[in-house]
Amino acid sequence: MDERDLAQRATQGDREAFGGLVKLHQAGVYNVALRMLGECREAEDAAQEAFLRAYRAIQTLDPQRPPGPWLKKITVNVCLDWLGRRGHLTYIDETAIPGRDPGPELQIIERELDRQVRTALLSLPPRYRAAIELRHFQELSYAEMAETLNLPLSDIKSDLFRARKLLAEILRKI
Amino acid sequence: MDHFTEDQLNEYLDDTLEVPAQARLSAHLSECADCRARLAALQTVFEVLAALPDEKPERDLAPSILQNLPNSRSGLGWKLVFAFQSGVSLGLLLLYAPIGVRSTAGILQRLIGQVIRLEIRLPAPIDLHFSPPILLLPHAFSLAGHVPQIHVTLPVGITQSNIPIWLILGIAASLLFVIGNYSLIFNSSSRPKK
Ligand SMILES: [Zn+2]
Repeated sequence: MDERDLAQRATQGDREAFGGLVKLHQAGVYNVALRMLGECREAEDAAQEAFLRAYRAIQTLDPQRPPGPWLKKITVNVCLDWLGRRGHLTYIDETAIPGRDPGPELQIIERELDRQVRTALLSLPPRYRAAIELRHFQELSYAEMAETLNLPLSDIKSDLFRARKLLAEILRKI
Repeated sequence: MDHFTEDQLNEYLDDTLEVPAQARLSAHLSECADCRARLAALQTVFEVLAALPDEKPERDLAPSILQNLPNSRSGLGWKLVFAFQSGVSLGLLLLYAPIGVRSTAGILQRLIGQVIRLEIRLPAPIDLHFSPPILLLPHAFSLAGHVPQIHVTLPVGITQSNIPIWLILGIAASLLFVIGNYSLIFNSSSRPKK
């Protein structure tokens, strides 16, 4: 059964089909949460919450369109809610940011850069983080971002542009 | 020409500028080292983000996610109930419509003491004509058009005297219809908790 069939059946209330979508998209959803929240366990919990929210809102899924982007947009909103609940204070546990077992030297250097990029992302205010996530990782247009976050286009642009400016400053120091 | 603004730099890289603006800025870039440097700094951000690899989840999340889904086929069940309710009440309303028109016309007739002719113009070729005397006939409700000719006959057993009962039924049906539809819409909209 392909993804479209799964989506079609899921919108009709088929739990098993929804399970199929979970299997297909859990990694993508988890990675959105990981970039937004930074911590593996928390990302797992957020992914779970995102799928739960998606299940409740399954009627808003258009089976004619791929469900991946829809799920990831929901995930960003779940993460923003979580970050809001944490009162905009982001706790960065650098040791919690994933690092693989030591491998060849080049790999270690690359991993170190990845870790620094993730840390830089986590240093941004939640809304800026969401803007970066939606534009750079989910490749949404400004208008789609505005719709996802329920914010005016002007706010979206200013969040995104400021986020990039901050990231550029951090990256310059690396 | 003026240097790039910060916003223009961003939109240039996002490829969201109008073609003339894009072209103007491209031309400016070729002669302005300052803007080239600013653009390059911003471009680095794009590249670094694009190069960030995904992580593999440490465990399969599917089992616990599926276990925690609400056991709500009942969601679908309720939807069927409300759909049924809406259907039944809509049927009742259609049944009630001729009576409603008839009694309203009758009341108006008594109030102003003359025959009222009600005419509703629909887009051609269908015209809908009501006049109270016709409404009092068994063929109470007629949709007489140039092409289609439809007669809706009142259900048997309805007389002037039991019209109040039908009025109450009509009101009840309207209420049911509104409640049923409201619940349908309410039930299918996303209302994530927490
Ligand atoms: Zn310049």
